[in-house]
Amino acid sequence: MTVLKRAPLVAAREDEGEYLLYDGVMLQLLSGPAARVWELVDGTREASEIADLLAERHPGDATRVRADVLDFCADLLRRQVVVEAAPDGIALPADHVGWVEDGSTALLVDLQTGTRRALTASGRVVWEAVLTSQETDVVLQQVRDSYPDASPELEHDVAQLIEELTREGFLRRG
Amino acid sequence: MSQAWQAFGAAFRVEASGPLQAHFARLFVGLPPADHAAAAPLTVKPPTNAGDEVAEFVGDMNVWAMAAVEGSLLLHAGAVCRSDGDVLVVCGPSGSGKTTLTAQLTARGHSYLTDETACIDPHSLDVMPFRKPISVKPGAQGILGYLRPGPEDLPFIGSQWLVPPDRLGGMPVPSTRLRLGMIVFPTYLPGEPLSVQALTPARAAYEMGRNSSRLRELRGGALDGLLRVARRTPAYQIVHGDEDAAVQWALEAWAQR
Repeated sequence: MTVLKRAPLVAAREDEGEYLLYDGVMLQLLSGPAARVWELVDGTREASEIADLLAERHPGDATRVRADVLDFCADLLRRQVVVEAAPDGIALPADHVGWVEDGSTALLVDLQTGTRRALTASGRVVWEAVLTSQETDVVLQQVRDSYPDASPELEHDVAQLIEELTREGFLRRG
Repeated sequence: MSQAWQAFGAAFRVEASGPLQAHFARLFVGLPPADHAAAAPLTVKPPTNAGDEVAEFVGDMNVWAMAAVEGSLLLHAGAVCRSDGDVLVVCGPSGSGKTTLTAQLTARGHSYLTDETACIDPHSLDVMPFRKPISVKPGAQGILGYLRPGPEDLPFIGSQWLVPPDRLGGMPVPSTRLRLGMIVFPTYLPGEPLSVQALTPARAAYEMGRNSSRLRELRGGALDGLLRVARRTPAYQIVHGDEDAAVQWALEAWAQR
């Protein structure tokens, strides 16, 4: 099961606990239980967690509520109103970032702010891995392939670098 | 020489011959005249089945005219107004009964604004009239039998009647500002007793949105525009099997505004 998030191209407005959604083509109204599901899709929860939360609010009918919520989440996914969030919130290169090679190292430049960040050789490997994939496992594997004798702290170091680059604006959450 | 008219402020003239040209002049009596030289020529196809092609032309003209009011909320709706300029919109898909209700509300002494497209400014709620000929489809011809076209128009009548607004009765459109006052979403089900449901703003916005054209171009954004209109306008969904009961309810609810 993966974490659900609201589809980026779906605009939403709330009024008195109901939600109006529009993606430029289809207009949808979510009321009552459907609106409660929508409120819980915030990029941090899986469908099963949402179903469990709402079932708790209806202890006398929990099984049916859970099944209905799971069906509804599947329907929202099918209609692309919600999408699966990237695992572990892996980041994407920001649109306004350029980079140049310098031997085995690299220099990142934020074209909006002028901020620069030099990457070591290993940092460059991480950067190039994130350019090709936003899946954590794939990024880690590419880095391990480049450094087969890396210490056990590799995963932590990669995560720390990604976190720094995100904080500095060179990467953005997907 | 052909005449020219305005539809939502866009000028057009009809390129047609002799008796058909005169027929259009009768149909478009409710539209403001336009400068012939500045009017876009809209050509009617040479009629083989004149009636249905005339109706098709009027429908095409309606779609063409909507481009002139890009950015407005364009509801698939009929509309009438009172002498104070307050507008009642009857919104719904084909077959919902909106034309019948619009015609009957007009006959009860109100001003006919449109039976096809209600053009609403999403900020001011001002309504622009579009007094095209009313289209009476076969399903409504029984109850609106009094609108049957006259002998001079019969050669051009197909399955649906096109009736100029001056035959609907009612009052002239007041010169005052026309402003949206109430929206009704009817559903006609034969034999069904009248039921009325007041709509939440979100529900009203949704119903307007799904019965609108060019929503993506709505000034200020589709969702914000729909909700802005819905939050300021009482809206009701009615189900009925009796047009008289529906009209009576609408008049009473509207009078309470």
